[in-house]
Amino acid sequence: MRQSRLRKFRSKYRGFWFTTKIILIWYLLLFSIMHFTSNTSAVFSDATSPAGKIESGYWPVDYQLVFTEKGNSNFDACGPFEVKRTIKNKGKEDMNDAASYEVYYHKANPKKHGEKVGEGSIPALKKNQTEELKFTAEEPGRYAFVAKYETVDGEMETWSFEIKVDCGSGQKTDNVKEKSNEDHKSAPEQSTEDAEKNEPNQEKVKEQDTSENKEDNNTEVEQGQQPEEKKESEAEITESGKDTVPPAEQEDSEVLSGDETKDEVKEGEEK
Amino acid sequence: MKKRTLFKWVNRIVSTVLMVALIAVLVLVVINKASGGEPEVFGYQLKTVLSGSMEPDIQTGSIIAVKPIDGETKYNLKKDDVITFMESEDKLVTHRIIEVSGSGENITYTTKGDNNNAPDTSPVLAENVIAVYEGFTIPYIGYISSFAQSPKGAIAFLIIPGFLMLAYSIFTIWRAIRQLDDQKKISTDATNS
Repeated sequence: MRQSRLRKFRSKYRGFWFTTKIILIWYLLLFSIMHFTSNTSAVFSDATSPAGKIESGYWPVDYQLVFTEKGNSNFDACGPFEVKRTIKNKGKEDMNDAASYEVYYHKANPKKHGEKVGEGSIPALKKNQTEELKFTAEEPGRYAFVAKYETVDGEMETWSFEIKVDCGSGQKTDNVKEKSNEDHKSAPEQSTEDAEKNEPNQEKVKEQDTSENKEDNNTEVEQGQQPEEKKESEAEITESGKDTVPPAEQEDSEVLSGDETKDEVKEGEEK
Repeated sequence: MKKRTLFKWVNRIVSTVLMVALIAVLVLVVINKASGGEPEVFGYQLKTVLSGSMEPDIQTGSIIAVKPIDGETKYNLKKDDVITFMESEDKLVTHRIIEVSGSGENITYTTKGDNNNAPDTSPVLAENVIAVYEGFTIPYIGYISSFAQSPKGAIAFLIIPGFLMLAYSIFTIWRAIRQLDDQKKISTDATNS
């Protein structure tokens, strides 16, 4: 009787023991898998190489572009006239990529209010190399070139001095007027040779302009201002004279009163 | 009756498996602890493979057995051998040698995954080779292993079975006690009457 009861118990516990064994085996299996493989971080590298080129990033270099011409220049010309500015790589390194330039035009102030009338590209210049930028001016007014490029310091912009093209009103630039008019009559599209010929003359005129303008300005100031202010403005002018005051700005100031002249001169200085 | 015999046999088999597994794991763990270093099973290291760069030979999620090598053997590997090497401080990679270059002590192996379309970027120095794969692989176990080591896996594989076991044992004990109580009652009833 008692034995049969025990057997009964045993048969009831049998299911329990069986489950326990299964779970133990499960734990053992897990343990061994984890123990024998855990310390081996054997993961395959997913080194699927993409087919194709990977371009390296743009590497900015240390350079600076400057316009070699100092001061504004005036030309008396009617009809299409080729204006030029020379740009130079004044930096420490060669350019590694072409840069671009734009030409702005306005009747009075192309830098502030000008509209874009032209653009082009500057080839990658070596250190100290120069390049001539050209633009054919169609209308009288003021033109300015701006070079846009990227260096180690970021996006840069360099503005040239203004080029004034005037039709008919250039009292002080008679010879250029004649010369350029002649040129345009004979050959509307100037050849580079002609342009080169013209250059020395133009530069001479420019110099004349500047000196004349300075004189004018001084007299104006003397006339229009009180003696106390006179010293101050003279000082201003001599200072700005060193920096080659843009003659165009000064021309404007001829018609202005003394005080305004001062402002204008200051503005010229800033430029 | 037939059912009972079947159960008996299954029970015996399970018991045997359990005993063998217990002893085997115990022996292996003891040997490994004594020898130190990477755990080995019969001279092979087991590696979990979790990417498909060597498919179809080695499937993702499988375990491979690799034979650790040292000394001279590292310098005498041939093209088409599948090697496990240190790619960086803590990363092991198993790829096939596609080119052997250099001589003497300056041997480097260029490797490539069978499933990759380009060789690995940097050649492997012979001294960074750890083991050679000889073709033994068990599929899918790697998934279990890596899952068991993640927090979710630990809950699913270790904690839940543990709780079920505990609940089942409590239930069994409770049933046994009640049965004992019932029997006591019956016996006291019998003596009373």
